[in-house]
Amino acid sequence: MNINEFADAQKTHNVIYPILPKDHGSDERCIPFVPLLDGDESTEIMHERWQLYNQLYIHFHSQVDNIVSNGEIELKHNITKLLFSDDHSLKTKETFRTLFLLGSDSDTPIEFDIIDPTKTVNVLVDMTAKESPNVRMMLKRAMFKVFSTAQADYNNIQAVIKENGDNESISEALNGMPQLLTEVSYDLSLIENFKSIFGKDLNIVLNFKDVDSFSFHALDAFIQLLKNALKYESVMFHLVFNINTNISIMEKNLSQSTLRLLKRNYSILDISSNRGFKYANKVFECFLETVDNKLNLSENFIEFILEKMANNTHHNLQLLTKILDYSLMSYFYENPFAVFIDPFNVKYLNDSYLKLLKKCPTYMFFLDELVKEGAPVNEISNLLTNEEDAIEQFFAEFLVRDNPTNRHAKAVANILEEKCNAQNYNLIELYYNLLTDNLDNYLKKWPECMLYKQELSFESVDTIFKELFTLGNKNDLLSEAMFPKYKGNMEDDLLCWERVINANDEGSLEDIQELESLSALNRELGPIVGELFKVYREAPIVINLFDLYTTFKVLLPRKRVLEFIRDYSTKDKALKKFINNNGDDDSIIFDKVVLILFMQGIHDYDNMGLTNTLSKNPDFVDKHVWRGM
Amino acid sequence: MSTLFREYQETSLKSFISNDHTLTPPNVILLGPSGTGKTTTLNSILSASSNDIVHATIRPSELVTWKSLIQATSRVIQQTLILKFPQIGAPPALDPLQVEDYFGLVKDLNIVMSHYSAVCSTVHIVFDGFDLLQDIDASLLLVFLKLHEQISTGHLKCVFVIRDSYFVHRYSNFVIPTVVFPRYTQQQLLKILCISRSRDLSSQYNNSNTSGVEVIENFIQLILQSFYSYTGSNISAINDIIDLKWPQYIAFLDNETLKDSATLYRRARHLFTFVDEPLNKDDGEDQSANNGVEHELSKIARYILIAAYFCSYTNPRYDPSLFSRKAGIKSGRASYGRRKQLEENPTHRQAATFSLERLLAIFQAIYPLDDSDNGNDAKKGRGSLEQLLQEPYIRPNIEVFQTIAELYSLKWLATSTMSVNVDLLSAKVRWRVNVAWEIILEIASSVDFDIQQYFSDIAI
Repeated sequence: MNINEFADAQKTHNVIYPILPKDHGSDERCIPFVPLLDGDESTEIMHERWQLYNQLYIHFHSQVDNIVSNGEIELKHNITKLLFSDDHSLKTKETFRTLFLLGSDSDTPIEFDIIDPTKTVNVLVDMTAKESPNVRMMLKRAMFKVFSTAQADYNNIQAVIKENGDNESISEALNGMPQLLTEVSYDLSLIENFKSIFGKDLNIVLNFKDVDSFSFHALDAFIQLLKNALKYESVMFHLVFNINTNISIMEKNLSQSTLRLLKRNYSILDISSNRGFKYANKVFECFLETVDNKLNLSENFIEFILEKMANNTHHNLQLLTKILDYSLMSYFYENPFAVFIDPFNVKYLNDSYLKLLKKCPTYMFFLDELVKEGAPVNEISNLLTNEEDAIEQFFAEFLVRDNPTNRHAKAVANILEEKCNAQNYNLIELYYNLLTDNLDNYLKKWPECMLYKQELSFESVDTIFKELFTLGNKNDLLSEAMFPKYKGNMEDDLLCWERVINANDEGSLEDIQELESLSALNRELGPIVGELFKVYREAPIVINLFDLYTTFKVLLPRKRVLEFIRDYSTKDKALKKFINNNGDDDSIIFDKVVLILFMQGIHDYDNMGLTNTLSKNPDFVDKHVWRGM
Repeated sequence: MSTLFREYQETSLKSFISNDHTLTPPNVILLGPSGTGKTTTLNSILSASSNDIVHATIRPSELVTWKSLIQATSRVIQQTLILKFPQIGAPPALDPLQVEDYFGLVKDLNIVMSHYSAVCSTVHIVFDGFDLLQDIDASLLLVFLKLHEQISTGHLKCVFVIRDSYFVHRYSNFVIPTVVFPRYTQQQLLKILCISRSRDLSSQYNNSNTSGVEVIENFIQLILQSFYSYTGSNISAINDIIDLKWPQYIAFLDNETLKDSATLYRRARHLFTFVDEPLNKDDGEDQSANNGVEHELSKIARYILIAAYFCSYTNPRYDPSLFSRKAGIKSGRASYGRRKQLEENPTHRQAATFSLERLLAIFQAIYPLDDSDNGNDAKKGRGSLEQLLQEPYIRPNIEVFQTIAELYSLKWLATSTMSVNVDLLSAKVRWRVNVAWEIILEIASSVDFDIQQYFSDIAI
């Protein structure tokens, strides 16, 4: 067995990628969009739609990348500042310089401040929970990292010196590196002798990743151990703790003496991007701008975003980007008017679009208003029938306008930021309140805003053709696609079997199809597994099979079943024999037939994984699916 | 300078440290809890001792394993000798990393000691904090106790500094001379601290005024009086507290309070009422900036926790009646009528295990149907088409599982198996809630969920 096979055999999970059948016909149709307007959309427009979508997508993502990378740079800068800023007044005693990163996903990059590399060796040691089972391993790993970094650093210098060919400096450098190199062991003696071995100061950053899953006993002992090395003057220790949750996890799990040690010089930095709404606001704003402020976002879509973001404590930004992304994609996929976001494309407007335009509720309201105001008949009828291209011109005029809600949301955000000095507002929530005419309520949090009431007031207006340019969560498409349900389909199908079994389907049992009693039975009785599932849902965690059978029996339409058996027995000899053998007794026959059906159903359930037979007591089965109690 | 209150211990140690091995036993133990001056006393004697006393110090607490302890012993003795007697020339190169066991150590020591036998006959080794070695076992001390017998040329004298008296009692029938360092009393502590800290503290407080010493003494006394019951005689803890409180204390110093210590105390009194601040100081004025710093559980997470609590602490037999949503069926306690009062409060027991499906089912049952508190109902309108489209109840989707995973990593939910690599979705895995009743009450009240009614048959 080779090593790869062995490693595979040790895995608990395997990922198997199915080989996709190669679709030879798909070469020419390389874009995933399909013609809309019941297939009337021309390929040219479809391509145009696809290209427009791609443009917007790329634009949006480059903006988001910008925002994220800017945030990262800022963060890196902050960390470096906190860790390495020369604050010697604080260092009254030997202490660690501690930094708690809250809400961190442990991927935070740490960069060293530029300290003279000829005097100092910078070592970044990443500690993960899995590699830190006990103090011995933690120490060995950390010291190994220190040693290997220092040696690499030393070798680099050697190479540089050799290139220069300066003999004197070689001997000088070699003097700094005595034969002691062989005598290091991976414990604190390395730190103790570091200056004498490498002739440089040492600057160590211990980056504890995912502190929440560390064994705190080991961590505590390790910090206590490192404390012994603080007395060496040439060494600086920096500890970075990446904490997923609250700082209290440290306070609860570390010993008081360790905590007091850490408290001497520490700072806390909250880096999760969802703290404060700064970055989410920026992303949202940039999404609004992406489409030149033309798109509307529907109320329930915004509500959906807010709800999903509230449910997700980490990775909020990614989630927001994903939702916006997906909504944009689905909008372009299904809305034929998407192509007109670029006003230049108004040339494609034709009758099939106009038909839809006329049906727009906002447009009809508009015409209604016109009629009420007593506008010239001729003008109105033109707008209805598109004579003299009236609708077209009207539509084109609206294409170049942008959405007042978007504009106002931005204005409010500006006022909040610049005049009221508020940073912790949520632009998405603000937008939602704008849509629902609730802005005043939302702004109550910042009493300073009352001064600018005039500028802030806003009445949401219905723009004509608004519905054509609205992103929404129609038919729960987004919730279905982005937040898939667990094991949902099987149970749904068992409950509502109508949607998988076509009622008009002519079964294979053609010879009995004409029986009147069968159709009567079919009307009252669904598939057995479906009927059984109704009983199963109500059953307790350990199901007594006999009880389940009794209940199941009561549930079946006894009269119809018996009628059908009688009818069918005229055609099927085996069934006839069965009836005769049971003395033509209705109750016995029904009991037995139901028992057969029941056993079939239970076996099906076993195979589907809904039940599990208990080995010690075959009268009972375990219930595995609990939905809908 | 002799160490305060340690005259007796000093005399006994001084008599031990000498080059004449016939005068003293080869091993001595210094026994005393931390912060009783063992190392300080020892160091002061060693540094004051005559130049021809060769001594080396090893700190087992830094070495973690016995193997590195043995290696360090070999290395430190070599280095000490090399540094002390450069005129002799280096001994044959010995690699301390080659010392894998006790016999390797003995071999190396023999070589080194014989190399230096002309200039040095006795080497003192100090094991500072011998019982602090992480993987200490009972035989390790025995090994080092007998080390001197294995050295053929020259003599070894070992000083074992040990904190734990139980550790020493194990070896009581070896009758090793033991110097005991008792804990300091409060009065002794005051004196020691005043001497050891006054210069350090006054340097932080830059005032040319001469009465600084008095202020410092006053401060140390206050600290001792307020926190002695908390720290005991643990000097390092007291020092920590002093370091923490001093900068805050001197903020109250001015010309008036400098003279009047009573006023100073009255102003700074709150400093002496608590030991130290939590890590995240919540300054009252800076509330808005601190908003959201706490890691908040989402609404889903709260309900999942409540559901998990039900799973662990209610009998699955009553689930259908407790959580049914069917109209006309009473939910909660009322559903099954009066039951015999349970003899034991189930919330005091260990959490029972449950399957994930049961958790999901209960979660679905208790998660509120619609956000009526948001006033969404009014807009959607009862019976409207939009409402038909809405899911009647929450279905476990990817968010729910994300939250469960999060709760699992927070250790609020646990699996019954101890192993780390569990397939969490496997039907065989049993779960358990890891939250106490008081906390679940708090969580439930934060989402307005009346959890008490489900446990009403329990006298709480």
